[in-house]
Amino acid sequence: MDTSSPFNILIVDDSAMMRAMIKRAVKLSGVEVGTIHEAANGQEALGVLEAHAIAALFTDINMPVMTGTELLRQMAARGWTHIVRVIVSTDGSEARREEVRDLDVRMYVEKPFAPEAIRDVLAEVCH
Amino acid sequence: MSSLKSVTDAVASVAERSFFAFAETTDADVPVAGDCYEICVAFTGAFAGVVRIVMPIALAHELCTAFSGLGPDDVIAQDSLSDLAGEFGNMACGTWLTGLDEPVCFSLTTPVVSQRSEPGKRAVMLVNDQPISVELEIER
Repeated sequence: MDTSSPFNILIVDDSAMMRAMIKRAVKLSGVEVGTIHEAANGQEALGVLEAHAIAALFTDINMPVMTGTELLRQMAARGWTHIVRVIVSTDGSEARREEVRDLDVRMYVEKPFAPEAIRDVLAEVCH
Repeated sequence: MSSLKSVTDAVASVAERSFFAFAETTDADVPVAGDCYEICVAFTGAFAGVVRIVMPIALAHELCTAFSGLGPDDVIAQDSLSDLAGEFGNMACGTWLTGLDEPVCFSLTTPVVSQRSEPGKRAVMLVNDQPISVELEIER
C-alpha cells in the first residue's frame, strides 16, 4: 500500500477530458493533496483502491464495464468506509440521489460544474 | 416526457456553463455543413430514446479549447476532441433528463461520436455563432 501521501485522490470517469478537468480543478483549488490517481470505470477503480491508499474518491455514475453506483456497492461490501465518496455526474435527479443515499456518499456535484465546486468539496472533505 | 425545446435548453445551458460559449436558438434556415461530429447518447429509464447532436468540428475545437483552458493555437489530439464532444453530449442529455424530475433513474450509454461530412442538416441553435443540430428520438 502507498501511504506516503497525506490525501490521495482517485478520479473515476470514462471521459479522459473530464478526468483532466477535475484534476485541473483540484490543482487550482489550492488545497494540498497527495497523488491524484485516475480510472476509466468502476472496475479499474477497484484495482487502484486495492493498490493505493486513497482518501477521497470522485466518481461518475454512468460508465461502461462498471458503473459508479456498482463501484460504491463494491466498496461498501469491502468495508472501505474510510474513503470519502463524492459523486460527479450529469445525473442529479432525486431518484439517483435516493439510489446512492445508503452508500456513504458525502457530497454530490452535478455536471456541468464550475471549478469552484470542486474547491468547495475539497475544503469540506479535507476537514 | 419532453419536447425538443427542453433538450436544446439543456444544450445551451451546458455550452454556457461548462464551455463558456454563447448559445441561442435560431429559426433561421441555417445549415450545419462541412466536417462535423455526430454525437449520439442513448438513454433508458422512465422512457428510452436517443439525443443526437451534430456540430462542426471547428466548433468542437473551440469548445475543447475553452473547456481545457488551452490557447487557440494549442494542438488538440483527435482522441481528446472526440472525447470532449462526447462529454458535451453526455452533459446535455444528463442535464435534460435531470430536469424532467422523473421518479425512475435514467441510464446513459457511452456517447458514440462519429466524424462525417454533413450535407446540410438544419440547425436549431447557434453556439458561438456556429450552427448545431439537435434531435430527440423517443423509442417507447
